[in-house]
Amino acid sequence: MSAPQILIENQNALGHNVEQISLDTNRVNIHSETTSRLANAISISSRGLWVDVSSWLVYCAAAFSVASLALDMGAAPWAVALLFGVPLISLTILIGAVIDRRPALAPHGMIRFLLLFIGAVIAVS
Amino acid sequence: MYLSTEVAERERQANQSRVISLSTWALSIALVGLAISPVTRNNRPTKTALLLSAAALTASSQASATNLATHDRVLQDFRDISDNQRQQLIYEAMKPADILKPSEVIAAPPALLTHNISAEIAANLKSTVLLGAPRAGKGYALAKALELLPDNVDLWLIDPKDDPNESHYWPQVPVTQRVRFDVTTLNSEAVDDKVSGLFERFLLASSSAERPKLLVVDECSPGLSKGMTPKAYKAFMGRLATICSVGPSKGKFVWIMAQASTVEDLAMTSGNKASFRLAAVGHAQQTEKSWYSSLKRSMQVEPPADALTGYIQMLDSEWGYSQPFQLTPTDAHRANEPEFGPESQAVLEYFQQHHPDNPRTLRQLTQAGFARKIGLTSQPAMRAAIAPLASAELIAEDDGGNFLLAPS
Repeated sequence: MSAPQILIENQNALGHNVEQISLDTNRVNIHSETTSRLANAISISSRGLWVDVSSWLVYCAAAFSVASLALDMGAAPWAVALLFGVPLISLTILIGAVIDRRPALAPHGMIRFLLLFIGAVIAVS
Repeated sequence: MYLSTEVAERERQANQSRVISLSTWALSIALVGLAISPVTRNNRPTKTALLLSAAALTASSQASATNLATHDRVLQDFRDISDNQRQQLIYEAMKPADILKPSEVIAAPPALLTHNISAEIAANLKSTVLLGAPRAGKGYALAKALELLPDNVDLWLIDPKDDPNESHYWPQVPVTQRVRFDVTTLNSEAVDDKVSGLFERFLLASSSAERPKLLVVDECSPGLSKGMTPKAYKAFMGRLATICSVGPSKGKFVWIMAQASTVEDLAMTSGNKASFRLAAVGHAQQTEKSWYSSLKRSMQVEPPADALTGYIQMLDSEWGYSQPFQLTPTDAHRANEPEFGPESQAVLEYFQQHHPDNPRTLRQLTQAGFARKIGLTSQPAMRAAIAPLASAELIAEDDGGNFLLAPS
């Protein structure tokens, strides 16, 4: 996001002078800020690789197992679809957005999908 | 300074967080493994409970890992602070020379010598050629050396100047063994007769290692070289050169005084330098530069360093400060005259008039008003002005390099 530009006009003995300056600003670019935060959430951490991957796997497995248990215990399928499908679709959109905005993170996004799938397999099998 | 107890507490908390984080993480993996094992696979509620527990443990593991990161960051801050303080302490303990880079260090100039020619040539009897510019004090230096000689030395003297001001130089030489005349008032043959007459008696006199004989030839050049006939002078100098080289074993020695500008007149050149000792006296400022360059031409003696000031002496081809002559009772009539140069005199007066008990550094002295007035603004020049006072024990230097008036 570019900083605001203003014109300063000055008339003195040396003549008429117009000067354009840019105002300093501390405002951030919302689009790039959002992109980097999403990328941080989806990219696979190089420092805590095993904890990061396994925690994602465990959270996915827990969520799918709760959904699976609800269906087993006779909950209405539309309610389960609504309760777990909306977050699942949101997560899918999130990963897709990161791959779209940062193509370099495409492998990370694919691994997140894979972990999601493995978590579902653990819960359902 | 940080509190070491606080650091210890932080380290304890960090270790605790690390243990909790790793153990809960391992436990959550184990619960997942248990959930997919055949034992609980068909029991849906148990499996869900195990997976939910695993998710909760994973969450607590991540929270502990976040705490661990915080503790580690604080500990790293403490290490940085203590590193800075350690660096500061090391820096304060270092000398300024250690703080400079090697390329910035200026090598200290070599220490300047202080010679006492009189004492040194009297301590070890050897044939000596003493060169000196006019009025540089070579006669006085040699007279002092005669005073310091042991009593068993048989002294002889040829003095072609016969300067009444210098008549008190040679009281030790027996009257019958000296010849004194004014070379400017005599013709060459008369000078030949006087010199060769005494020289013959000197050669015939008995000598041994226990009772050596020493001939002092004052003003050999240009006094004798111009006053004698060339043939007689050449023969005389040839005999002197022979005494220099073969005399020591028979106890025969000569001390020759000359001016270096005419040193080619002497038979002693750099070629037979090893047979005699070469000494010289001069004044750093008052003696002409050409005098030093002629000394370099004839005897390959390098000119004195620029840092030297005042009266200087050369021994073994090394120039150094001249140690002031010690007064003896025979010099009592000269004691009223100050021995020191005007600069030394000014330094002494400054010490006597301004807080005599107050020690001063060399730097403070160069910045004092009197120093600016007489041009003693450089520290080497000030040291040179203090050197004769320090030798005379009027001014003392303490271990810290401070100068103060010696208690009388």
